Order: sequence, then C-alpha cells, then structure tokens
Amino acid sequence: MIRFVYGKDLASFPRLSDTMFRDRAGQFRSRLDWAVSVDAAGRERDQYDVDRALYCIYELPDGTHGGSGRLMPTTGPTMVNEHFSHLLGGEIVSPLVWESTRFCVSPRLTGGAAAASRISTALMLAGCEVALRFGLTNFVAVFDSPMRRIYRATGWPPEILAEQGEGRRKLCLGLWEVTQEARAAILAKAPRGLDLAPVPAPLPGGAPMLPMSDHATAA
Amino acid sequence: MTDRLNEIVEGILALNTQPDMSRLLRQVRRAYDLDNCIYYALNLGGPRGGEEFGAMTYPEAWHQRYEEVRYRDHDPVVNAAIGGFAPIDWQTLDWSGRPVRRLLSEATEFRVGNHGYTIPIHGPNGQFAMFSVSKQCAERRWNLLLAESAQDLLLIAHHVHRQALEITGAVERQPPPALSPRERDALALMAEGRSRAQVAHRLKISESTLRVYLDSARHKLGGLNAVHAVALAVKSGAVKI
Repeated sequence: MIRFVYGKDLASFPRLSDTMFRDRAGQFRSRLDWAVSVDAAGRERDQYDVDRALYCIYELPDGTHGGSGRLMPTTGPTMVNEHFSHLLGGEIVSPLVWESTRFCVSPRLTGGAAAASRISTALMLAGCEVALRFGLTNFVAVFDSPMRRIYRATGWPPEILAEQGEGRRKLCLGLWEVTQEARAAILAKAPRGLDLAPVPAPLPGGAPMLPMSDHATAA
Repeated sequence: MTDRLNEIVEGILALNTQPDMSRLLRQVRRAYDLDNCIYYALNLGGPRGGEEFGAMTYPEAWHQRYEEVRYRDHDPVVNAAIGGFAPIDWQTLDWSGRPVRRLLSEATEFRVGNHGYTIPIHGPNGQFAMFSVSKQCAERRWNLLLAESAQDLLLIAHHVHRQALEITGAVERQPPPALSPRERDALALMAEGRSRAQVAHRLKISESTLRVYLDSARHKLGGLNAVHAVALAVKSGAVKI
C-alpha cells in the first residue's frame, strides 16, 4: 500500500522509515556508488530529509519499505537548484513545480524485475495523483541515466532537459508533466497485481483518519 | 491562464495596503464561489520575524475571539501548515480533542464554513504564511470546487504572499534571481511575437516544458503571466530585443 508521510511523522512509522533509510543506503551507496552519507546504523540521510518533506512510500505487507520518493516545492531549497543548477544554467522556481528526489525501489525485494516494476509504477501513479490534487503542473528530478528505462516502463517518461557525463553514470535532469492523460497512461501500463487503491491524503500527525462529520471547520 | 485568475492576479500586483488586501480577498471569494478567504503571515521572516500581517473575509468578531482564546495553539490547520509544504484539505485533519471540538463549534457559529483548504508558504529565515479558503457546502460540491480551483489558489497564494512582503517592507527590494539561459531564450523568442508552438519548436522542447520555463521566469520576475514576464524581462534588460 501507498502511504504519504511528512518527515516529522516518520517516527510514527519506525519500521517503515528505518527500512526506507537502509534501502536508500543500499540503492544510492552500494548500488549506484553515489557519495551519500550513511550513519553507523546503515541509514542514508541528507540535508533534504526535513520535517516538511512529503514522502511517498510503498509499504510491503510485512510493514517494511518497498520503495519511495521524496517530494518538495521548488520555491524552497531543492537539490536541483542547490546542487545541479549548472545543468540548466539556472534555477527552476515555481509554485507549480515540485522536485522529486531519492526515488528508490528496495534492493531487498524478492520477485525480481516484475515486483520492482509494480512498485515503481505504484509510486509514479501516487506522485501523479497527489500532484493533480495539489494543482501542480510538473515534477522535476535529477537521476542517473539507467533510471530513464524504469520511468519509461511506468508509462510516465520524463522529458530530458539536460544531461551531463557518459554511460551509466550520465546525469539527467527530467521534467514530468502532470496531467490526467499522464495518469491514464500509467494506469494503461500498470502491471497485473498492482494495488490501485485510492491514493490517501497526506496525514499530518500520522494519526488514523477520522470519519468526517459534515461540521468540520477551522480558522 | 483564465481571465478570472488573470484579473485576480492583476489586482494582487496593484494592492498597496492592508484594506486593499481585504478587498482583494473578497474578490477571490466571489470569483471562486467561496465563503471565506484569508491570508495570514505568522512570521514575516528575518529581522521582521516577530511580526504578523494578514487580511481576511471572516467577521472581525471571529478573528478577535480566535486570538483571545488563542485557538491557533490548538488549530489543526495551523499545526499542519507549520509542519508541511503540501496544501491541506481540512477534511484530512484530526478534529478530535476537546479544545479542537470547541474551536469547530464556535467557527460554525461564525459561519467559517464546514470545508476548507490551506496552502502553507514557507520562505527563507523562518518566513511562514498561510492562505486559506473555506465554504459551507456538501462534500461532493467541495471536492469538485477544489479539483477545479486548486491550481489557481496555489498561484494566488504565492502572489498574495509576495505582495504582502512587498507592502509591509519585510523584504528589501532585491534584484530578481538570475534567469537561466533557457528561460532567457524562451522570453526573447516570445518577445519577438512567436507563438508558443514556434518557440517550443525552436528550443527543441515540448510546449509543456516551455510553460515551465515561462512560469519559472514569471515567478522570478514577479510577473502576472507569461506576457507580463516578457515585458518585465525586456524592461530590466535581462532580455534584449
């Protein structure tokens, strides 16, 4: 199942978030050999793992992390603008564009490529749906070239705006257009067995959602 | 960009005072068929960090009551907005607990509306503001309204915030952040009167990507829309024609 969790609420999901940070170490340090920092317990974190970041997480039936991505607006500090602005020669700043970083499918998965593809598709679909809900027009992300194939397989390929380097380590800056058509394209390509339950709203506090009375209101 | 949004943003860029902003919020309320609309900066950021600034369409009595009882310490909307970047549909919040239920019942008396949506804005140096809208209606109607208006409201929220920083003098007028070469190219070609399709073709990008460049440039320059961004870029010399 998909969960949207704010950084400040990760502690309410200890098993899920602990395995997420470990899987990120597995993916970004061990597999991709990025210069990321991993703590003594084997968890990879960076300066963008802030309280306000919104994590889109695929939770496996055993409660551990199956895959995730981290979302935040480009009107605040982002990786694409603080570390990769040389790719475009400037920053992308718009309330309608959010950045996705640390897109990761668990290296612990059993079930091979099919299982990984189900999870990346579910994550892309959830990202698209939440962006449609917020009224965003685009996601932007920087990723290694081999990810292009994975994104394409989900039915929602990015447009590549800039590239740097060669081969497998080639860096790409990609832009996804958020539209109902994109959502339909992901659904059309979704593999069998994908859990297409409605994407939940991000829940501040991580508390279970209460049935709403028709009298809720606030200032 | 629709005429409706264009007109509102034009109004935002022209406002100079707090009463202007109240009028503008009433205009937003009318244009988007809402009951209430509020902009509130809890922290103007930097040296003005302790100061608040806002305007609203709520009855003044409700605002007074809210401040008097210090409801903001319990308001789940405020908590959620402080804690996250994402817009908040009030339906998804936890409204249990005694002070929160009291807040709810009093807000109902003051006709705040049973549904609401809040866009948090987090800026540098602790800057924090909220733009909220609310309405009394059935859930179905509310969901439709949000689906239709979420993007406009996001843009309006950021325009109002920028204008608030300007009219309060909280942020010194700074040169706009540098445009990227792609943004400059896009604006320059637009300035030559080319269509978006032609510009996208020339830059070998999709029209969707062109829209991102134009919107990013618009946001940096503080413009009303793409055409206005072109004009501002030419005026400032960032783009030569």
